[in-house]
Amino acid sequence: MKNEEQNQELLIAKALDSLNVSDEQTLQQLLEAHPELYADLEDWRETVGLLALSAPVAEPSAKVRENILAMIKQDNEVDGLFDKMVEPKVEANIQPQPIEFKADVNYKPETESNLISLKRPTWSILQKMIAVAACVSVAFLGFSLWKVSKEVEKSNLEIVQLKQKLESSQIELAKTNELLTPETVSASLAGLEDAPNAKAKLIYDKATGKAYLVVEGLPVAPQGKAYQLWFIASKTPVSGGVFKANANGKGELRGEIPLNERQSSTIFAVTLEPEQGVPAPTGKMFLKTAL
Amino acid sequence: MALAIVQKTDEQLLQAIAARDEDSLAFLYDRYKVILFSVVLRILNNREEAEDVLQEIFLQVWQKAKDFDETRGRGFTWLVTLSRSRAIDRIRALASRQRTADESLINKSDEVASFEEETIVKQQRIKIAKVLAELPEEQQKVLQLAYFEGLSQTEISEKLAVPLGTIKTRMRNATIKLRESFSDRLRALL
Repeated sequence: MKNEEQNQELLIAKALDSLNVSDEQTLQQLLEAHPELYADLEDWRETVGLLALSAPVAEPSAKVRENILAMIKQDNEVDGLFDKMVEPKVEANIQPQPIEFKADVNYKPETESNLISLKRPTWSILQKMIAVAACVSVAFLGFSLWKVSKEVEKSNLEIVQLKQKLESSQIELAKTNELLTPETVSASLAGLEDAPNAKAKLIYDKATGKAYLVVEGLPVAPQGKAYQLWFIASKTPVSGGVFKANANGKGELRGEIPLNERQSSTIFAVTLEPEQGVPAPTGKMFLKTAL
Repeated sequence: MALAIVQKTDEQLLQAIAARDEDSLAFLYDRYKVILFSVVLRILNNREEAEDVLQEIFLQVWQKAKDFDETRGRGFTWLVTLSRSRAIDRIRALASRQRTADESLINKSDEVASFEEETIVKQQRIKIAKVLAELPEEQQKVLQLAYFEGLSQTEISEKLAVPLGTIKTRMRNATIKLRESFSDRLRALL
């Protein structure tokens, strides 16, 4: 098959979210090498999107719309409320007026009218002080609310991030659980001449073929090269996918072992190959099933 | 002069939604509720779950509209991809692969559909049904399992007991045929 057709096959499967894990790695490498293929991928996604119209027609109940609109309205209202509090003024712009005390030439301390006239300015100062205090309190309250809202916003962001982490952990766990079945078997691979300290463990489910390879001690692959896993049940080795080792010599690969290769006599090996992978091994062998 | 909301493209509506315009979200919902709900229901085969997921989808649209990049694809594709992905996530979370394929329920949806859809969408539905019907049955099956069941190529291969290479070829040929049948102009009408 031509390279172009292979690429097309990968892009189509990706557009349908149907790509196998090992092919996913191949596609990622391909996209890194040829970023122009992202446009093709988007084009295939557009084509695949047409399949939405092949679903039997159905309409949601009216309450879905009501719920959505109520929730976004509430969201906007809360945002609006906080927007107004973004710049609260802590100091109220109210200045107490100076009060002039003038000598009352007609002062008559015993009369009720004079008592009242003396009390007035005293109450006015008190009222103004109360008003200032109230304004300061309101502004402070506003400021506090604004701070709380920012804290809530930050916490919400953290919750979203934690949820994302949880989701990815759940996916990882699910993938691992797929391998924890009564049919699970494992094989150890030992390093050969070029990486004597390297070792690897391959766990796979004999029933489904789902497999997970974890390696350590491998040298970092040279530019343009990657490690490729092989299943050798007969004379023809079958590829299990390509992977790279990190700077610490660790690497992993998830994939599936074809039915014919799931035999107790199957030998697993890892060779160094061009990073796109090759149909048959050509490079040096670094790891092989330990006997 | 500001465009009337009905004249706005999906991309313009998404821009307005990013600016917190509730009316635009309501309008986008009305424009796509049937298409998206149909996909979600087809995947989940459970009306209650499907309505819940549809709600989540539009809340996500409300929150993520600012992330939509029209240079990378059309609004319709973004919405459909998001919807399908949410529905498949839900079904995986529910671990309810044994949806007892209630074909009867699915077919009923068609019968009770008495609402008005835009003529162009109706035409596209007819067209896609015709294109799919013209595909060999095995290619149709592969597309359905991938798109509506969310199965990987290997899972399809195991389910149908057909070699993986054959599944890949069927998937490729079917999708190419689909693309050839819908010119860019027709796709853009959606």
